[in-house]
Amino acid sequence: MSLQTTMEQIREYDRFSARPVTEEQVLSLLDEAVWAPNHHMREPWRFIWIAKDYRDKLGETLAKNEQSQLLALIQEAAACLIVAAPVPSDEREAKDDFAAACCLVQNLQILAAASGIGMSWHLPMRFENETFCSATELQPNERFVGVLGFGYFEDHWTSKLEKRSVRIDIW
Amino acid sequence: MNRLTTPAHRIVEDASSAHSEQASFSSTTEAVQEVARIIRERRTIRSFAKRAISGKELANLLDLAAQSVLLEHEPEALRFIICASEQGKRKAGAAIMDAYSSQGLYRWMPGKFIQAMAERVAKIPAIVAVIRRELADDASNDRQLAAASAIVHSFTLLAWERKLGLVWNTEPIVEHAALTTGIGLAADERLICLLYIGEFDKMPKSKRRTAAQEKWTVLGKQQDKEGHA
Repeated sequence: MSLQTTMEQIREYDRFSARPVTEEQVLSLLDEAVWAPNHHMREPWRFIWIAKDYRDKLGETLAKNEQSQLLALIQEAAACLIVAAPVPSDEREAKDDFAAACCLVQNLQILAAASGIGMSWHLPMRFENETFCSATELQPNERFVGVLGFGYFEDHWTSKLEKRSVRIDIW
Repeated sequence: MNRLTTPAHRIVEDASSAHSEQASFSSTTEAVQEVARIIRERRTIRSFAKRAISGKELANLLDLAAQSVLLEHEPEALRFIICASEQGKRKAGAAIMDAYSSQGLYRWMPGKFIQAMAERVAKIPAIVAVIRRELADDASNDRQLAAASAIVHSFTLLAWERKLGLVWNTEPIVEHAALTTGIGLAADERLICLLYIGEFDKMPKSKRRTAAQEKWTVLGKQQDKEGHA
């Protein structure tokens, strides 16, 4: 199966799937995802696995109406992983590191799709909720790159992805 | 907080052998392996074969790449300019050289150096400008940056599958007015990066990567290791 076919199968996690996605599975996909481009091999990322028994505690830090999608992900997704990136003092380095960590998350999205697993990607900002940051043990010199939810696609479930049109000019 | 106890700084040179025993969890192993192969093979390519590239082909790849990013963002506030025709590349090349020659360090470079650089830029088979429109708040702008990075990466992998390599240019010139006005950006548009794209003849060597487990923290009690459905 080509990369293109896999990419066309990319979906968000299936909230109705009962099949578990394990820590080992996510680690194994991550070991492929770490081959993301990054400047000077800084490998600017860190992974925080949110175990099942920590979900409620983390969910309590989120407001029901303002962050309902993020809350649903943390409460319901078969697996939940946070990707954090360091924020170096140099602004350009910080931008490059953030972009590199985003490439890693996108690798994970593609690898998950190839495994029949959907992934949702949320990107909360530190200033939006400090309590949430503390609960995830995000360090002062770090930022979120993604709060990710995983779950198998089930056969009965077909999500309709809205078409995202970006403007492309050809010169 | 638990940390998995593996020796610190253990580097995996070839994780495909290290993890082959874990690759059996899914019936779609073959698809994963194919995707993983492309992800692992991809390199930054800075020197290109002379062959021309079709702008339309790049546009199709970009369009598919844009569909592959699920982070919430505003797609209509992202824009790409693909310069693949001689005329288009000349326009972009001139704007890039204007930015270099009026900026910092390069202002003091001899004309010969600038000329050599201009020739190198002119030989790049295709240049893509990645542009975002400035949105009202920092959070939205950061999400646009994140989404744009992910789109560019998906595009990079799709291009790699077709033997096309690229390099991201995020040098300070991407913010230089000579460049942004030269390629006709509106006042509220920002150039995120330039991509230099072409077929590659030589593939640079791979560098080692740190295993994910070295950067792994668990919050809460570790999950049971069952669940191989």
